[in-house]
Amino acid sequence: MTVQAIRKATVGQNGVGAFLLQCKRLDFHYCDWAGSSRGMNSFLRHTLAKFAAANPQVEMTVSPRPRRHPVIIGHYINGREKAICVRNLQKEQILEKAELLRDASGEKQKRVTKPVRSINESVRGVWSPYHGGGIHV
Amino acid sequence: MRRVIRIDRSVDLLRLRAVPTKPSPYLCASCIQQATSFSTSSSRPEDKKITIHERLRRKIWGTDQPPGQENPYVNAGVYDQNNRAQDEELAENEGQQKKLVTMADLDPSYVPATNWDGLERVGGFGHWWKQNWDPEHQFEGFLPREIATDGNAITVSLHRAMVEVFALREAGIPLSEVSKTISTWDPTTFVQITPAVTGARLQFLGNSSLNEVVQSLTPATGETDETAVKENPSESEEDVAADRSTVDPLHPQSSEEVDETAEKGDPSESEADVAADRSTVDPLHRDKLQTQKSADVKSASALDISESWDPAWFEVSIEEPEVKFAVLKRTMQLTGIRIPDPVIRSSNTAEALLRHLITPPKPTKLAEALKQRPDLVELPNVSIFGRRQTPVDKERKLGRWKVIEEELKKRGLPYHNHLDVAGEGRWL
Repeated sequence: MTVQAIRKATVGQNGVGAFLLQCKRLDFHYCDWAGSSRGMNSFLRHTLAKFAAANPQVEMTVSPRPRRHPVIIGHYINGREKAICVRNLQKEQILEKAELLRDASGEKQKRVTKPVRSINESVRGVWSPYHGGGIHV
Repeated sequence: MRRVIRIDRSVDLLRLRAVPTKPSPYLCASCIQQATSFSTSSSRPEDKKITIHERLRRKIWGTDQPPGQENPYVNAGVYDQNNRAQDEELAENEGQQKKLVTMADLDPSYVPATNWDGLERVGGFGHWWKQNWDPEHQFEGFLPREIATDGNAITVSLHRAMVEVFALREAGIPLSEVSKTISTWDPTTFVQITPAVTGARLQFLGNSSLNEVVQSLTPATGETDETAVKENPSESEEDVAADRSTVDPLHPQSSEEVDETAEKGDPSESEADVAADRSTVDPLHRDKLQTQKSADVKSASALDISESWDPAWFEVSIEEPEVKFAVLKRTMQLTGIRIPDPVIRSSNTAEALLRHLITPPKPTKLAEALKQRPDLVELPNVSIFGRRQTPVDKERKLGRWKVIEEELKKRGLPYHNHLDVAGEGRWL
């Protein structure tokens, strides 16, 4: 007797039952000296506390990266990571980038051509001759 | 009509002024003039050997023996001349070397040294540093080396400075005397200072007195009257006094050593430091915890002292320039904290000055500034690192670094990261 896997009754869809944020960690890197980090340093001083308090499920680390441009790196539960260079950006723009990384799924960018995407082949299902009202001739 | 005199051109210097003795019958006068002006040939036989450059130089200098090189275009250049001179020197040296005698010729027992043991040392500074910078002749600046950081100790120092300044004023002594010396004990602990119309009013509690405060500010002098410092000594008197006094002018405090041997009830911070410096115990081998404990005790005692004062002393005005200058100078001398000009200008009360003194300087690093933010540090999902996070840090966080380190050790490979190699001295 071969071992058989339990047949999957349902397909997990994030957000149908529960929603798990895909972003698990955000790394904020800055430089103390470089001018391109001015906005990042301002963000860390003034905005990070509020942003981190609003997103307690995301771990946030702040560490210097001397002589480099500032960067935000997002780590996702699918094992991938995304990095955005935020050189010469203002703190409001950096907040937008941080929110973008927080909301991202971690998947590679794909071209979306259809307005609706679903794992079902059709919302109406497969046609059956035994169902429905039938047609009286 | 006036005739315009023709200015001679430089080439005309070479022109033969002498008109040919035999004018050609078939040339007109103008043609002869024209022809002679472009003629560079000399009619004089002695000029035939002299070149055109030489003649030009002679004309310029106005003498037959002009200085400098005869013809820069004919003779050898500076480079060639140098080479020639070097060759000549070399040849001379070679001749001399042949004549040189070696040490072996002079002394058959001579053996050349193979190492530097026993050889005379030439060059360097000799014993200059030892003679001038040995521990007994340390430079003593106006500000103490150790800068006070404890807020309570700074408060006590400022209070002391203010009491001393106003005590001098009450005694009618010039305020410049305030920083002459630092007494080993603080006589201002039991002195209350409160604002008044005239500036400040001093209340001496317990055993303290105005005389004691003033005495503590007077530098100790010799026993004889000759060395006693007069109020306004003339220049010659000063010289005589300096010659006769036993006090070292560079180290006036050394005369206080006699008094320092006596036990004082409550030693001040500076006294404790002096005692610590002179103690035979190596400060490096002291227990760190004990040092910390003693610092805490000091701070606590300073807090007790400062709490015993009437808080009205914070409002004492130091607006008067002379008082302000004396207070600042004394405070700097007691605490070692430098006070910038904007603070000097803006602080007109003791409180304003104290606010600057006890305010820690702004952190230079962003990580330090963030670590001081309670709203950020208290968040459980935020971690702040003071230095760059290396791959080693990441491995350590995952708990893999121990395994990796063991394997690297086993293989004889370097197992600390590049920061250690660069001399940071930090093991990761």
